[in-house]
Amino acid sequence: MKGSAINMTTTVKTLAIAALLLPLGCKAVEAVGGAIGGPAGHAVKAAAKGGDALQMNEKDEKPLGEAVSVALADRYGLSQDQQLTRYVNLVGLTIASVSNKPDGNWVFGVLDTQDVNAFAGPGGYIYLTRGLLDLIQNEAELAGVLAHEIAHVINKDGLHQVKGAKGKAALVEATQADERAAQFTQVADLGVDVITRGGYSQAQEGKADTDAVPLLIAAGYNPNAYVALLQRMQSRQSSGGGVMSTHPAGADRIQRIQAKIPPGTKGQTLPERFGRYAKK
Amino acid sequence: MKPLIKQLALGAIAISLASAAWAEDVWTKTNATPVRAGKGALHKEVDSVKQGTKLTVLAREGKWLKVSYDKNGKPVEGYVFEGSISNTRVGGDLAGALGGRTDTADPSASAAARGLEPQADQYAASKNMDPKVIDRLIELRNSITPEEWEKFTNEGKVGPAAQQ
Repeated sequence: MKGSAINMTTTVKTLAIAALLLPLGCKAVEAVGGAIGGPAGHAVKAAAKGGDALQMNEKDEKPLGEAVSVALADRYGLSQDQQLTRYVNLVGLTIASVSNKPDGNWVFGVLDTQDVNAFAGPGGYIYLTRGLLDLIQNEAELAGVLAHEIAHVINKDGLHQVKGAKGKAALVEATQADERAAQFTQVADLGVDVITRGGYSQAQEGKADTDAVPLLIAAGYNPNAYVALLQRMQSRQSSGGGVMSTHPAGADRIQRIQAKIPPGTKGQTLPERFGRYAKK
Repeated sequence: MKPLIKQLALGAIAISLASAAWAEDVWTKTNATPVRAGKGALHKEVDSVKQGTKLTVLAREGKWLKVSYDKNGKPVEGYVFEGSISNTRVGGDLAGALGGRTDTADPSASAAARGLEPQADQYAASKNMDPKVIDRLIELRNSITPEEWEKFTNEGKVGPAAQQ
């Protein structure tokens, strides 16, 4: 999974935790793909050798996404607020419906932690934290976060990350294991480990941001709300703690997003509806 | 009468040719392409077809195609997303070619009906983690109906409602 650039923890400790989790999802996808079976393993190995980015079989990504989801839920716990979770899914599905992958296996969850973060997991599993929801002020801001994470999934950023040297070594080892179940566990663990130490490149984060803008516009949300959220997060970062080194500097990032928004763009923000579900 | 018969025959041929020309075939370019009961991701997945499956287009409705195809000698109809299909023939399933598993279509094996994949269950068990929390999350997501989502988007004037 990836801890997107949306990370904005209030303490150094939470930043460190977020750094561990950020890339977890996407990288794990590739790794697990290798473990799941011959085809996926070949694909991942080929990618690791610098070949073309291979299309992961969605049926391979799904169990990996579920495994990573189980690990995340075990670490943080999932919100038991079904109305809130349902609402986040409705917003996420609205964004996904205007993407080039509306028929993906999209599942959205809320992690029961005050850390401020969001994760794009393998196979379309996307999570954001209760702490991040507390920072968000309207539905358009929430849509911005989800659009950013959806863009990471669609861009298969994790697949590209796995091309790193550590990933190569680990995948070869995993694909040589005898038992498929043991391979899966090994690769899932590897994916989590790689993700917890890595992170997306600034280019990947920047692209996810800029890809989020047309998604928001197509879905009828005001993309300026996403900018406002990032500005709020930047302000908190400035007064509270550090900035994740793997992510673009806040000001640059915000400027790039603003440059993608056509002048005069408007859209829905829906603060009342967001408040009904998220501000209890 | 002969000219009339001749005209009718020519007309029938013309209609036949027109129908043949109109029938459009496409191929699935992704594995486990969902075939749904309606044009939208929230509609029930009635089938799942593997990469390279030939489908006949019955109608194009926005970004969704109503298609038909043969499955075990029986015709199946449903909707697929345009991003999942190609207008040119797509080669065989990579997984199958490499000796891996195939994605046999089985409506009963849809995500909504199945819960977590066995690998994920085994992973959770090996880590002494509870997979049911994710199972419940998936169930919650799958319980969202097209009608509920349509009401949600109409109320907020977002998604499809924003484009009208």
